[in-house]
Amino acid sequence: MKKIRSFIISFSAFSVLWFLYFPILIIIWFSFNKESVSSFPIEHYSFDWYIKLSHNESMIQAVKISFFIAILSTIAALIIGIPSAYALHKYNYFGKNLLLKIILLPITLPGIVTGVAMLSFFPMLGIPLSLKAVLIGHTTFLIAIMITQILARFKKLDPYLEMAASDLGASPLRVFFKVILPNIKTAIIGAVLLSLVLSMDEIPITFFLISRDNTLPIEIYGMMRRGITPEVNAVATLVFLLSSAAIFMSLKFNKEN
Amino acid sequence: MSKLELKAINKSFGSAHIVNNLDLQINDGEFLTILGPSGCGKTTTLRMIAGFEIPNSGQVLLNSQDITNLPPYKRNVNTIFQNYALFPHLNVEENIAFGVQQMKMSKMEINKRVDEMLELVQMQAFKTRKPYEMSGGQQQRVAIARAIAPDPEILLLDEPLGALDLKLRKQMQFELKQLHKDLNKTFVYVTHDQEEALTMSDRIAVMNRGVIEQLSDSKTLYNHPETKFVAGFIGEANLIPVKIENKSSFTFEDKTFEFEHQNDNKEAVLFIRPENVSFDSETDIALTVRIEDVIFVGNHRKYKLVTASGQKIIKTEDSSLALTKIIGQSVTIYLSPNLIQIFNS
Repeated sequence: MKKIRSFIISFSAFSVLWFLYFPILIIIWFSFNKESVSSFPIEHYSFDWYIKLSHNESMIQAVKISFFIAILSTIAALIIGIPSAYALHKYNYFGKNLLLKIILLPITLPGIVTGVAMLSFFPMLGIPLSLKAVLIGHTTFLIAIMITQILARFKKLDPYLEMAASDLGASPLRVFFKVILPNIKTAIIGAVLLSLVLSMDEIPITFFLISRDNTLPIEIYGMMRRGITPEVNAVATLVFLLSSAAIFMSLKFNKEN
Repeated sequence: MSKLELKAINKSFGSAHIVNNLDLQINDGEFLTILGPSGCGKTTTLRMIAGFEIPNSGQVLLNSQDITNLPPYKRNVNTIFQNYALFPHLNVEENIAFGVQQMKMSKMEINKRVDEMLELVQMQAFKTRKPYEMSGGQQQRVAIARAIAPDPEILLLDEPLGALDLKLRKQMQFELKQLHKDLNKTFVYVTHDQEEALTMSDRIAVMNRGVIEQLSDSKTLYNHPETKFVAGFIGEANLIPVKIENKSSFTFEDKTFEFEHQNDNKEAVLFIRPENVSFDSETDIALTVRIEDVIFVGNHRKYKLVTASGQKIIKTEDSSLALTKIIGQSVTIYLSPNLIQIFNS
């Protein structure tokens, strides 16, 4: 009886995994197809599409823009997120609990809501649709990621460490840099990796705020409208590998204590 | 001149009044213990000396200078915490150097100081270990070295042995006492463990509900407690309810005994240590009791006695003495006027 139950559970689990990842495996497989038509059986394998990709100027430009946006918005989120998380952890003040709940809003709200809201709000501030707008848009939801990830680590941190450091003559600034920061380092690295990945494949907010320059997901989307080429498969494969590696490392750093 | 002086300190958290108009003078080089049950305000008091809490009113004076509102990092006072609070990202050497690095010292002087400290706590071999690679006792030694390294005016110890097992605790008690002697520094020690307090301290401040009930050396505290709480908290005590008519007698079970005392409360308690209850040294205060039980407790023997009204009295005696009484027997016990005290109940 027990054996049958365990078999059913593991069968269902693997079916779900298969359902989720089979399409990705197919794409990776097709990306090595020499022919330009995606159909079985594959007769010749090659790296042709990867080579072709490396000559695609607009794609390379999109990758550059995506990296640029991801890195800058992650840095901005870090600069705002770490002190915010520290303040939320350390001090009690009026409206703190409300703030803790509102912080999660940019993640939980559908991106389309945030996107539309910013689309109508930014022009009022005199911010035109541009990469600048995209940068601000990404930063808003990355701050939420940063704060929640780092706050979780603060909660696990022994409060006596701060007291001990202060007791031994360290000023608040020194306490932060010599004791707090080294002990939340791994959480920060994890949050940074996660932020980079999330920014790199963000579509809804970007879609509303972008003007001429495309980020990578938008560029791929644009290519798809002209038909699925194996080149898209190659890009998808690369993005998949890079993202998985980053997410895997992010999880590893977050678990570490 | 006292090293440290607490003057009329009050501290409350919300509606809870934790420390109540507390005065305490600590002498230079003294080992002073603040002893009390949990929630009595002892740790809060220590935290106000360290600077982690600011009193609502009152003053903290270190070498006659007001440090009441100074932050912890501006006070030359170091703490050893119950959970050690070693920095997990630093090794033993770096942990010990942390406090010294705040001072204007050359790298060579810092290294020298760290080595001295490692030698003091005999942890030279562990110099490059991380805290999680060591046992509780070893971490404790590093915590001690780290707190002493900056050469503080006063060392504060917040139940530092609480997390250790009994055998190690005994050993560390001895080592801390030895350390105090060698360093000639002022130690302020907080604990709820009366045995720890009695064996280590020069003086003990027994704290209850935010006030110091008694401040004296171990012997006085044990032999001449000043309040019912102190009598009951330190060691074993018989606290027998009695009635008071005047200051020269007390009444127990309808019998009135002559005894000079300072108490004028009608309801009071008579205090006597179990080892002072006697079967044979006759005095005027004699009670008839029945032996309910006799228990062998290693080096001593414990009698559970009960009076006519059902009041329980404990008597202990050296177990090397011959056992001459049997359970159920009626006997007379004598209480020596020199060894009893009467407290407000």
